[in-house]
Amino acid sequence: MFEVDTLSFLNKAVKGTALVVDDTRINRLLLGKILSDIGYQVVFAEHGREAVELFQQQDIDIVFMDVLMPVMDGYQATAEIKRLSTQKFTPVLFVTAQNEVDALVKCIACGGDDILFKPVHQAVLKAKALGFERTRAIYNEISRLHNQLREEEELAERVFSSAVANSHCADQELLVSLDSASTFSGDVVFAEYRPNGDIHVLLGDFTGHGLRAAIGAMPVADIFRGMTRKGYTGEAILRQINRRLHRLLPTGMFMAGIFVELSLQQKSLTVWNGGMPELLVYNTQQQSIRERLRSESIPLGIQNEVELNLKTLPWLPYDHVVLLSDGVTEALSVSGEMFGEQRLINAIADKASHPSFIASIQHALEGFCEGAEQLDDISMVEVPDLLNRPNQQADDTYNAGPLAAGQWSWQLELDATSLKKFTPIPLLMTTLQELSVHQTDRNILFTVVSELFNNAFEHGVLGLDSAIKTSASGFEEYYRQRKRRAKKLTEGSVSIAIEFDGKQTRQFTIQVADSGNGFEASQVAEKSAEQQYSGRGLRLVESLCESMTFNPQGNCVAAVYRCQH
Amino acid sequence: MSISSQLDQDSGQLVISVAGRFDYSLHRDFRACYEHVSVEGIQLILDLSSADYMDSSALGMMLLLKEHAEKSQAEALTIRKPSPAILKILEIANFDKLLKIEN
Repeated sequence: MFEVDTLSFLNKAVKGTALVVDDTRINRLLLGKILSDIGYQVVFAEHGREAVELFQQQDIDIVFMDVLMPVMDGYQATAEIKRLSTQKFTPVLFVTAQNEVDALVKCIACGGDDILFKPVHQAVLKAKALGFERTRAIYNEISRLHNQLREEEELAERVFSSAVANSHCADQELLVSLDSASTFSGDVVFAEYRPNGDIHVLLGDFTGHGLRAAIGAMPVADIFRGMTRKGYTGEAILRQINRRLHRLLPTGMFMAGIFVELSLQQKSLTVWNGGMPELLVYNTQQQSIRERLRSESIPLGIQNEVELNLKTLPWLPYDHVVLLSDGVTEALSVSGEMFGEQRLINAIADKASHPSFIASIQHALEGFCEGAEQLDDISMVEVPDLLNRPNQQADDTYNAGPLAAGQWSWQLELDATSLKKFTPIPLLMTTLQELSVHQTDRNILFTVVSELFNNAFEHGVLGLDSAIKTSASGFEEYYRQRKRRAKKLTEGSVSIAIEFDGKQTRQFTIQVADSGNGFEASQVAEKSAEQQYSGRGLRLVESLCESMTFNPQGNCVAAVYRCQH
Repeated sequence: MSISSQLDQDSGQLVISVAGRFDYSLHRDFRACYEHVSVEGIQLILDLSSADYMDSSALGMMLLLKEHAEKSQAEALTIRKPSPAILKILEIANFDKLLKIEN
């Protein structure tokens, strides 16, 4: 049987300062005597107002409160003391002769913690005082832990925002709305320019939300930004993110996501969707949803290697691209109904009365949810009609380092096996940066070399006919064939050579050769310059360079670009 | 409780059934269904016929169950009879490529 040692319990000393509030002098003295006998320092107040003032001036640990007093009664004084006592727990015990249910309820209702009936018994009082010390210790510990947690969360939030949530470089181009269910969002949005001005956008949704969901966002931010700036393709970036998340996150945590490469030069959209709601392309000229791209891949971080199934489609003027997280369609109303797909489609159709698609969807969501608690992060990204927008100048002041100088050459030859798994452009970009080539020149060189390399690979090595690309359906067919042929590739090669003369001409000479058959000599002679070159890629290179010439066979091209900085 | 499990030694099946909302709140109960059960050679079945909603944490829990099945050499893991709403979520996440789903 459990033996309770009351004697040793009551032999414990109480500590701290007790405030006795009573308008009768004899009551104050009697209670004061008991309290000082058991170990308290005691201070006195004659009415509620004086008690509140004393409480503000001194460090009071426990209060003994009379009920009926002049100036301010015990109920009001208790309410005020409790209002003031936010940082620590200060028990208030009523001392009353009224042994009535009403009085007791009222004492607790105004914020009091317990009640003692007169005449006060010393042992009872001491036992209650010791009990409240226990409560106070727990309260203080919780409050300390709470403060610590808040400080740590604030710190983590600052680190997180600067690493992840910080402004997207392509902010002026896109509309982004992130509405988190808690301090940390499990949804992330990144947007970054490639060196040629194309834009990569990624909307990711980690399992769950809050801090545990946000952890994976940091490496994703680094990989996405770094690799995009270096000119990597969406596929390479997504593969790298997948591998990193697979290594980093425990089983059961992953990132669903939706990615778009907006190519202003190719006028194409390349989309990957892994576990997210459909990507919508709304054309304001056709006044309809032109494309819906559903999830074709598993989310990232589940398996070490993943089939991505990226899809490329033409990007038309008047296209608006809308990316959403599932928090939109799964938002709940007060009665527990889901927002759903139909309301989303209606909100998109209702865009005309709002400044943007996001604004229209937000308006519909607000009306539907009516302030119901938000359970998941709600994120939206809208790419406005960038193709009908006047051209903007890139920021020339960025990264004005020392001038590129000296003389160097850089050469690389890739066979079929290497071509299948390696894109040399990002490596070249890093090299150019190390050699202090100015950002503006790097961006132009990225475009020139990418176009020449793609041309050599797609037409020379893979033997694709760019004429396929002329129609909208052919466009997609072209990229399907490209993928299929690249997969089966066993023969062929591409070589790239770049020379820089920083001393005299300040020119870059770029030579790209492939193993293909090149142009038919007769065709070259017959066709006008515009038809001869396969598509707008080469025309673009020609407009950027001093000169561009093919060898007679048509499988080796040399372009000369003059350094601007 | 919205999770129950039944081990049938004769047929060699462990059937875990989830009813109602399948989300993070069921995390512990879900794990408890298989964690201390010897499942070597047992066929694992996750019966979702009575579940009406599932979130991404539930997808995560399925991956944990799959991992457990592989580690402890269970016979197979089958997702049984997902409702249309749940099937849609499984399809969006392309989990039909990772798990066996049976209607």
